[in-house]
Amino acid sequence: MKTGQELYNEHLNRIKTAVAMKKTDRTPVMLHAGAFCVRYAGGKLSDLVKNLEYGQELVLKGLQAMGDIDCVVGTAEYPPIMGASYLAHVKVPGRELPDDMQWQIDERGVMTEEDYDTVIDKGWDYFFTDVCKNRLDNVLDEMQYVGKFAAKAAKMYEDAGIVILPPVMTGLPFSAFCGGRTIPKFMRDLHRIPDKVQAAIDAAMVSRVESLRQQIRTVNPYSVFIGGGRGAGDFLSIKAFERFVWPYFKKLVEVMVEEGANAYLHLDLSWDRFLNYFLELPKGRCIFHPDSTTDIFKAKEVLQGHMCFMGDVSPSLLTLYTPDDVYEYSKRLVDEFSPIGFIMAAGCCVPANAKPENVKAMLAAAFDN
Amino acid sequence: MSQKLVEAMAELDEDRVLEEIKALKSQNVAPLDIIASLQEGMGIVGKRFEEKEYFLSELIMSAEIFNEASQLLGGMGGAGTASKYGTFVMGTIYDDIHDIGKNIVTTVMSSNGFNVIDLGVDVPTAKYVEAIKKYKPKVIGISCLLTTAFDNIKECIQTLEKEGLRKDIKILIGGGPVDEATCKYVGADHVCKNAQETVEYSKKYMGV
Repeated sequence: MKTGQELYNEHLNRIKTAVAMKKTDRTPVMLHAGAFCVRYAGGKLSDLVKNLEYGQELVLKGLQAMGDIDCVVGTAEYPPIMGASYLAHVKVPGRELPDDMQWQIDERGVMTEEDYDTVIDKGWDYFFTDVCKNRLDNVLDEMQYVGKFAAKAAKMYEDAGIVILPPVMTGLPFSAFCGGRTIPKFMRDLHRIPDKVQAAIDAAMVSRVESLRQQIRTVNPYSVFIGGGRGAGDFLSIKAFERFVWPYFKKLVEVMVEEGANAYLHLDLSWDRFLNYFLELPKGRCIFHPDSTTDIFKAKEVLQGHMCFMGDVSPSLLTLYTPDDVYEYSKRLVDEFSPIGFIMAAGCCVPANAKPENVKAMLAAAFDN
Repeated sequence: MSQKLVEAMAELDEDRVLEEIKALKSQNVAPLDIIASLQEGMGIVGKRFEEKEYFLSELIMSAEIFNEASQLLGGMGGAGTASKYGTFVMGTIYDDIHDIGKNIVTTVMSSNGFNVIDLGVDVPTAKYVEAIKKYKPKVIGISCLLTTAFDNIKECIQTLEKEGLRKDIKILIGGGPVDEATCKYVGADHVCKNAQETVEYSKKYMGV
């Protein structure tokens, strides 16, 4: 029987091998599945809200019941703070929603056009603190509550031998402004006041970069989470993508690598139009995790040998199909990607209502191969 | 038809659109004719979107300009019967409060000549039933971002069938996790990947 530390080291080494784009002893698995695990462990989604520690214990119990999980995206999935980085409210089970209903981001457009000037003149930190205190029901209190528990949660996972792949998170100012303004208003801003939007993005980046450096130096993470969904898909022209999204995405990844961390690229929406850009990122230091909307096989053609892949079993496969269907797709992923660096995972996350037998089928394809 | 207005709309030149509308109003051009020019411009925007010259950002911007322009004309109601293509009913299914995709689709459909009935979010089946009986749409849209709401869409469509409301309408679904498998599972007619696809599908079905 391996100790938690031995298991942890085994998992971390397996992940490191995959990120180095080498074949592993078996395909490593990442299970980003807080809501699913709580239910699988017999709890309700409101357990994640009402008692952080108990909710986390349920998640861990659900994870361990699924098998030898190598890593997760984060600890302490605490729904009340999930909208903050998008400057948005969130409706959570047990409060605004029934006990076992999925939490949902509620974008009400708390950011005004004048707020771009506030960010430019006073910086992101001043603006974000003000928004959290005065427009998001003082979500700072909730964030501090989670912060106090973070170290304990990390220890729970480490003792269980599960690697928290990116214990540090960052994101694009573009995503925050988009959530804060709402999509229609933000898209209009991009056309009507592009210089001001860009100046605010530049201003926000100053503290983002500094904060990222400090967090990496404090936590010494294996990798850092970065998302950017609304910069992808069909939202923007290439010209707008190159102006408002990509330089900032690239900069943050470069900072991660400069500080000694790897980049976990959490890529919601389709990035098919932008695959070549990822070749500009440091080789062998990134994990490309599409949400099943990007054509992962096309991504392989472009990015093979440049970065490791993760994914991408879709929400519909996990909820609507049979275990055989899931196994067949997952096996194809293993066959095509494992020799070049691969971590098995759902696209984005495992839905709360995924069929347990389908999740097991996805994992079996990794464990068997 | 004002070619200047059509071009300004197609180029997403908000200032020029508003100036031209004021000029046309001062010349006593009928609001319905002005709306027709705007819709002609929106048609060009849609074509450019399909040709990948424009993207969602431009599609949303065009709808925003259209809305502002139609306000100058006293709203769509003030412009007379501006909807050329019939009625489109849409909402986000119950237990799901996400409205981003729904709002984009309803705005773009409205600015492309459809009479849009927006039922909002967290819409119970009874509200769809009521709206279909009242407005008699040819196409309805159901949006969802949560896989946990798939069964709710399925229940809604089954109820429409039981009520005898299903056979004369097309049901479109859309949202992040929605794909062909979802479409088959819930019994919808078509998955729309974006707002423009909803416009094109609806026009085709209505024989426009």
